[in-house]
Amino acid sequence: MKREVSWYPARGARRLATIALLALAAALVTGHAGLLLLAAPLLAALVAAPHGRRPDDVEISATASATRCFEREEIELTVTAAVASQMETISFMLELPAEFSLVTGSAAQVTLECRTARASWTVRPEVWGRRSIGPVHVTCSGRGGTWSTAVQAWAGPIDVFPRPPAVRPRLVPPELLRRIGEHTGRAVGEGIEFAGVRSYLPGDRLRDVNWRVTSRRGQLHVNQRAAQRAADLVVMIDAFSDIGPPGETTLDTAVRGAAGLVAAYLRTGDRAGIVTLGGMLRWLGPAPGERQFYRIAEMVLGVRFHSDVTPDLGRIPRTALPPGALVVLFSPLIDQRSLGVVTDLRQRGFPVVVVDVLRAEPSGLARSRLSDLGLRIWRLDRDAQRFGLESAGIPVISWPVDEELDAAMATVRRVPAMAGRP
Amino acid sequence: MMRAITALAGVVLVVVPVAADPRGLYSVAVVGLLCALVTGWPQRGAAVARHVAATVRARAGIPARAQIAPGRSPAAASPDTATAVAAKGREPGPPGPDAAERVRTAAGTVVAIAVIILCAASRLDTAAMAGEGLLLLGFLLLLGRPAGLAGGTARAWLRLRLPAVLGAVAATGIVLAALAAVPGSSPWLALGGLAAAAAAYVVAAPRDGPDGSRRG
Repeated sequence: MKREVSWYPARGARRLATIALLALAAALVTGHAGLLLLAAPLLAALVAAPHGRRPDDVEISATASATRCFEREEIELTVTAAVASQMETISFMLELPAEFSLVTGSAAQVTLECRTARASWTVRPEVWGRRSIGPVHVTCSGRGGTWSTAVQAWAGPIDVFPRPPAVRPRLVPPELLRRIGEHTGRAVGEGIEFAGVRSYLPGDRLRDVNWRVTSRRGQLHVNQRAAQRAADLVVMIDAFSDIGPPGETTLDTAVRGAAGLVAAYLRTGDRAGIVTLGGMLRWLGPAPGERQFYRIAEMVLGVRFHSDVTPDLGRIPRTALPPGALVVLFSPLIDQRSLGVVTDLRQRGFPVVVVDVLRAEPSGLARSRLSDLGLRIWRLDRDAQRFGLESAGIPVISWPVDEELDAAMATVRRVPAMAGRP
Repeated sequence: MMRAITALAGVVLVVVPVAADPRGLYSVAVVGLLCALVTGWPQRGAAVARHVAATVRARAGIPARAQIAPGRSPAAASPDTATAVAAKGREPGPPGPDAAERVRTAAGTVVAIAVIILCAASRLDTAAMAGEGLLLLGFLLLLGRPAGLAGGTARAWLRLRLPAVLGAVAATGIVLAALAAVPGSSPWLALGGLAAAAAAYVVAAPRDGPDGSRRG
């Protein structure tokens, strides 16, 4: 892309001129003629420097090797600058945002006596999101280095998907769909898990005969298997709060956990969907397949959006929250609005599990009795919150920093059904 | 290597007038020496500057950016919950390359100003002053080098500075001759002569016209 540029005295030339003028002024003020020997070389250097033509535009292009990637995957960034006239230097300075790290290539690269220059770097995104790489400051200096111009270039935007942690689809809703899947249901069917023994009926397969029971009872008995059923999973992300060190905030943890859970359930043929709370209420109905993971990941990229509006779950269509779907909420349990959503879902009969993504306690400004007392009150408040949720039949899973999500979720095997519901 | 040479040039620039009795401007000399060292190690200089700024902010009671949570505060959304979760926020990392460049060039400018003050106050003879002038030019040229120069590229860039250096040597010779020819004269006369020489050069030097033709 061609950009019109304006040429201005280079920083080095301005410095030479300023120091020379200061020396001249000092010579005049003090009457010390010898100070002219400080100014003369500087002025002569400015005058004697060769001059060249200054073109009106510069052609800049910035490209990235990929427009979509996962966290910590490497991307190659290439910036090319082309000028109509011979330049003394074309220099590139890469200024990376905090969410990227430089893998190879020096941040500053320079080419001498050229019309076209190219610089390349390998960068690694450390945090998910939709971001541009840059800016890259491109400075072209004319012959003699007295005149220069600068332009900025960005590459992207790059969609960086959250890297899902390894997790197995352990949580099973009390009611499963009437679709073949990987989870053991309560009904009898053509599964793998043993579900009981009954008398032989015409049409049963001989391989199902339980010879031990048959020999004991003197009548043919066959094994029954539990049906393998599929499940619907809806993950909810609490985006009302986003606290913690950059790259490891509660929202980052929630998004990664949700991505891991969605990937695990989609791998086993279940359906997965997502609802984001906070900012704009957005949802994606459950669907199977690997494409659904990428649809969910793209939707999650826009989740950082501040709002004071309480989400209205009534707006969510039935297809996005199908009856019987297992709802897993990733939340730091700080905002009351997310707690309200959870209890509302439970009252509607949805099996709900909450994953607590707050991994650090508040740090007081100073170690004092009052701050210690405040911390204890805060801990008691959170314990009371968790007790209230668990009393309502909503298991709360803690996900500490040093524990895998799979191990944390192993503490809950089956989500309790609502009282009075089958 | 280039940074070390720049720092060494800065140190010599400051030490020479100090050695010729700067009439008590030792504080200026100390500032100049420290800034000369910063031109050689700009990352450390930038880190020291940030530390000093943080200390001054702390003493003045101005909250640093690092203590402000990057996200939204949950307390406003849940007033009935006694929650005071303070985030660690963004920790100040090491200064980036652009910050170090700015510190380096700023320190170099301070060195040049300190040299002018010390030379004005000292009793350097004209030969030493001429040497100081050429060394100051070398120091400022090295200070203004583009970031990312290394090895053969650095040598090629230095070769491109040759016309400027030759012009500086010629100008120094002219001024020396002018001062020697008329001892004790007013600096106005020497300045006038220098300006006349420069104007003559600018008029006589060939230039490229807007249509690509050469004039001069």
